[in-house]
Amino acid sequence: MEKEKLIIMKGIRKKFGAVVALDGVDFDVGHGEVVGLVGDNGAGKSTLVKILTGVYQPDEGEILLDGKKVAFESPTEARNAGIEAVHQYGGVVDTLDIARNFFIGREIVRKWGPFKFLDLKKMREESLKMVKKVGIQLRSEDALAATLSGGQRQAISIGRAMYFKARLVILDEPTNHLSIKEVDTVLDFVREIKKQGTSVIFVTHNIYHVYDVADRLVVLDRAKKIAEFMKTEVTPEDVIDTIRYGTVSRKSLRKE
Amino acid sequence: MIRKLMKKPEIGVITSLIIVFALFGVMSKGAFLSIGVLKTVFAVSVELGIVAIGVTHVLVAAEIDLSVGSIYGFSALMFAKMYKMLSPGLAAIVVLVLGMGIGFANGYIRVKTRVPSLIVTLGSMMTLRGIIYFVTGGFTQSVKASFFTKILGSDILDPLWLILVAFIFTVVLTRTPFGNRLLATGGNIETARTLGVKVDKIRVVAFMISSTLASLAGLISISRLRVASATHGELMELEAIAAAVMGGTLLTGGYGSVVGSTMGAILIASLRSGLLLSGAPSYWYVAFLGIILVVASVINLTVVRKLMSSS
Ligand SMILES: Nc1ncnc2c1ncn2[C@@H]1O[C@H](COP(=O)(O)OP(=O)(O)OP(=O)(O)O)[C@@H](O)[C@H]1O
Ligand SMILES: [Mg+2]
Repeated sequence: MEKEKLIIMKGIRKKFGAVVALDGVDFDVGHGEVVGLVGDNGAGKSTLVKILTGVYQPDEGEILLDGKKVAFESPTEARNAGIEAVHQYGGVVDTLDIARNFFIGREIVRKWGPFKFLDLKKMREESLKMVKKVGIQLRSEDALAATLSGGQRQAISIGRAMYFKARLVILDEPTNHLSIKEVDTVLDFVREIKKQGTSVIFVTHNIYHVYDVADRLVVLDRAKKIAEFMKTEVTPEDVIDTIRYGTVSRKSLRKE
Repeated sequence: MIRKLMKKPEIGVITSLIIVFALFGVMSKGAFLSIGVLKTVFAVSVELGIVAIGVTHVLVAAEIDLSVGSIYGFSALMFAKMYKMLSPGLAAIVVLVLGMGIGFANGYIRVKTRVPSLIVTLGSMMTLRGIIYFVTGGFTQSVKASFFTKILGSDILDPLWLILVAFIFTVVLTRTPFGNRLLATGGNIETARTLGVKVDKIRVVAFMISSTLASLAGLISISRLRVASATHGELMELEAIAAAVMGGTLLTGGYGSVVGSTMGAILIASLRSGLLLSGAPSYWYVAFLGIILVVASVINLTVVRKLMSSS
C-alpha cells in the first residue's frame, strides 16, 4: 500500500524558536498525482515543502520515498532523489543569463586534467531547448534574467525540473504576481509535467488556480492539516470556506 | 560593434582611460607617454590590479573586503622580516599561506557569525595593521636584491604577472562551475542556496582568493621597491574597490569583470602618476580619484540598468 505512494510524510513537526510551524502533519503524494496544498498565510505550507526539498529538517516525523525512509540534509540531497522545487520567485538569479541560470549548481562541464570548465555552448543549447519545450517564446536568448517576465522565469525552473528528470516537482505560489496569460502558461506547465508521469505539489492561496489542475487538495491551518479532499468531492467554494472557517465545509457536495 | 561595446559594463573604464591618457599626454606635453613614466604607471598598476582582481571576487559575492591593504602591507613586511631566516622562496610561501589563512578567517567568521563583512574585514584590517607596527616596531624594513626579488619585482616580468593573474581569474570567474556559483551566490543568495550551491563555502573561497592575491601583490611590491614602511598599503583597499567598481563590478553582487578591475587599476595608477607629473599638489589625486570613481560608476550603472531592463 505504502509503495503505491511516491512520498509519504508522517507526523511532521517543526518549530522555529517558539513558533510551531508544523504540528504533526501527515501528507502524501501519489505517482503522477497533482496535490494542491492550500491554506492561509503562515499556515505552514512553505515550511512543509521546504522540509521535502531539504531546506529544513523536521524536528519530528519521518519521510518515506517509495516506501523507504529518507532524510534530506540539503537541497542537493533532495534533488538527487528527484525532488525539484520551483520557487515563489522562479528560482532565477537576475544578473545571469538563461543558460547560466538553468544550470546553477549542476553546470555542464568539460574536464581538462584535474580542472573542470563550463561547456557554455552546450549549456546554452540545452537550456534554450528545454525552455522552448515548456512553451515559452523568448525575445532575446542571451538576455539577463532580470529582463524576463514572471512566466519566462518559471519556465526556466520548470524546464530545469524536466531536464533533470524530477519525479516530484514542487511549485510554491507559482502564480503569484503573474498576469492572467502567464497564469494560464503555468497551469499548462503543470498539466505538461503530469502528462510525463511526474508528481506535483502545487502550493497556493488561489484555490481557483489549483482547482483547475489538482487531483487532490490538502488544507493546512495553523500548523495542522485540517482537511483533505479529492477534487471531485468538492467545489472551490467548499475549499475556500474550509480555509476561512478552519473546519471542513462541504455544503455543495458534488455528485459525479 | 559599437552598440555591442556600449552594452559592456567595462565601457566606463575604457572611456575614462582614454580621456585620462589623452589629458595627461597633452598637459605634460608628452612626458606622460614616455617610457619611464609608463613604467611606473604599470608597476603600480600591477600591484593594485592584482589586489583589485582579488577584491572583485568578494564584491561579486555581494560582500566587501577592507582588509586587503593591511594584508598587502603585512605580506611585504613579513617577507622582509623572514627572508633572511628562511630563504626568500620559503618566506614567500609562508607569507602566501598566511595571507590565505587571513582570508579564510575573514570568510569563516563572516559566514558563521553572520556579522557583515564590512565589520569583519574592518576588524582584520585594523588588527593586522596593529600587528605590523608590533612586528616592525614602526620602522621601515628593507630587503636585499636576490634572484627571487628580481623575478617577482622586475619591470619587464611584472606586467606579465598581472596578465597571467587576470587571465587565470577571468577563466575562474566566467568559465568554471565555481565562477557560476559565485555569481549566483552574489546575485541571489537564497536562490543559489535552494539550488544546492554551498554558498558558505563559495563565499569563504572568495575571501581567500582576495587575501591571497593581496598577499601576492605585497610580495611583488617589496620585491620591486625593496623597502616598505609600516604604513605600506594603507588606503589600498579603497583604491582596489574603486578600481573594481570603475571596471563594472557591481557592489550589489552578481556581476563583475576581472578585466574591468585590471583596467580600473591602470586608470588609478595613471591618475596618480599623471597628476604628479603635471605638477599638481598630491592632494589633488584623491579628489580626482573621487570624481572619476563617481563618473565611471554612473556610466556603469546606466549600462547595467539597460542590460537589466530592456531586451
Ligand atoms: N525560517 C523561519 N524562521 C522563523 N519562523 C519561520 C521561518 N519560516 C517560517 N516561519 C514561521 O512558520 C510559520 C509557517 O510559515 P510558512 O512560511 O510555512 O507559511 P505559509 O503557509 O507558506 O505562508 P504563506 O502563505 O504566507 O507563504 C509562520 O508563522 C512563519 O512566520
Ligand atoms: Mg509560503
